[in-house]
Amino acid sequence: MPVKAIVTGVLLVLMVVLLVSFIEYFLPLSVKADMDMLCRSTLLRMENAGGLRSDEEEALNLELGKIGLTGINIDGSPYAKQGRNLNLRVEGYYTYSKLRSLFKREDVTVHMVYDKTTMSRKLVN
Amino acid sequence: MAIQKHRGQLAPVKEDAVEAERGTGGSRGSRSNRGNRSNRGNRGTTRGGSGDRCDRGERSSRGNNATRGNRGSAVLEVLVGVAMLVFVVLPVFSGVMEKYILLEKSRIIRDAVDLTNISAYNALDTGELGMVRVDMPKSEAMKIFMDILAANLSLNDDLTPKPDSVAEGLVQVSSLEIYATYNTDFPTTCPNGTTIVRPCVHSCINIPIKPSLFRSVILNLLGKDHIDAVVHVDSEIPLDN
Repeated sequence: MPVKAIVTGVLLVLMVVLLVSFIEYFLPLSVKADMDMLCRSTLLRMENAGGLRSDEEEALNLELGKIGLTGINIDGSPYAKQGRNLNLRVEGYYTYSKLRSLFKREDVTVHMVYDKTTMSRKLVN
Repeated sequence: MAIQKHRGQLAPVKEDAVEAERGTGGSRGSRSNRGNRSNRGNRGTTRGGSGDRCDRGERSSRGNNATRGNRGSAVLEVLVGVAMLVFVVLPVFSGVMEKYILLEKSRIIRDAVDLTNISAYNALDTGELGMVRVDMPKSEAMKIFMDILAANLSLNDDLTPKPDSVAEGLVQVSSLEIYATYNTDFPTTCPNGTTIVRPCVHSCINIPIKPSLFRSVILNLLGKDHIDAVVHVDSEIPLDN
């Protein structure tokens, strides 16, 4: 009877460890999706405004910080007239605690980059 | 000192054991409890005779069988658990993870194509716009589309992938249509079947991608070198009027 209980316990622990480590794989993917969404909306605003304004940059920095990114570096075209390329490059680091072995967790840092180009639509007469 | 004390404690126990062999019972002092217990046990076996021995033997053999049964069920449980992990949990997780990664790749490509479509606004004829008409030369739109697509998907000018690209092979533009006021009676339908009611840019690209987990196994099962993702995006042209 104790053997059975021990075996069941060990199997349960293994299952839980696997489940937790599986779920943790989705964390950086989810953060990257959030980052892409924030950067994309900023790029669309840049397209309308013809460049990256400083208040937009600050707002993006703040939003990215809220989702857990650190060491954020935002590099966007400050001004482009209609028909010229506008580029937004955002880099950041996401650190999260990950299950490395059965009872050991370690901090893992992932480097995330968003780099997209569009064209300015702002007409200046 | 300690040895003497130890000896002193052991002495009455020896006496009790001798008494137990004689079958006379033991003293009831606090020190002799262990002796009494062993005494009772001995008496039980001597009184019981051969019948009791048989019972005990059966009990012990039943006990052995039960222990073997427990061990057997534990081994079976381990096997079932490992089989579940290997054949159920891991494949299900891999499937879900693979699907999620493919969807993410598809989303990244879709976003890039949408941005590219929106960039094609810049082929708008600004002279025509002044007359509240949307006009767009297709060759210019195509050039802008290819340039921006290459920049957003990290491709070379001939649409072959750079090392950090999400694409795994040559990207092909299946269709690029511009539905503007001068060439279209709205509503209409795009080649992929979407109803279009306003000026818009339709594009459809074929982009080869590869699975991330168990790449070779999945590709061998499919009998392909890569998976062709067909990304179709219709982006409406914003008009103020």
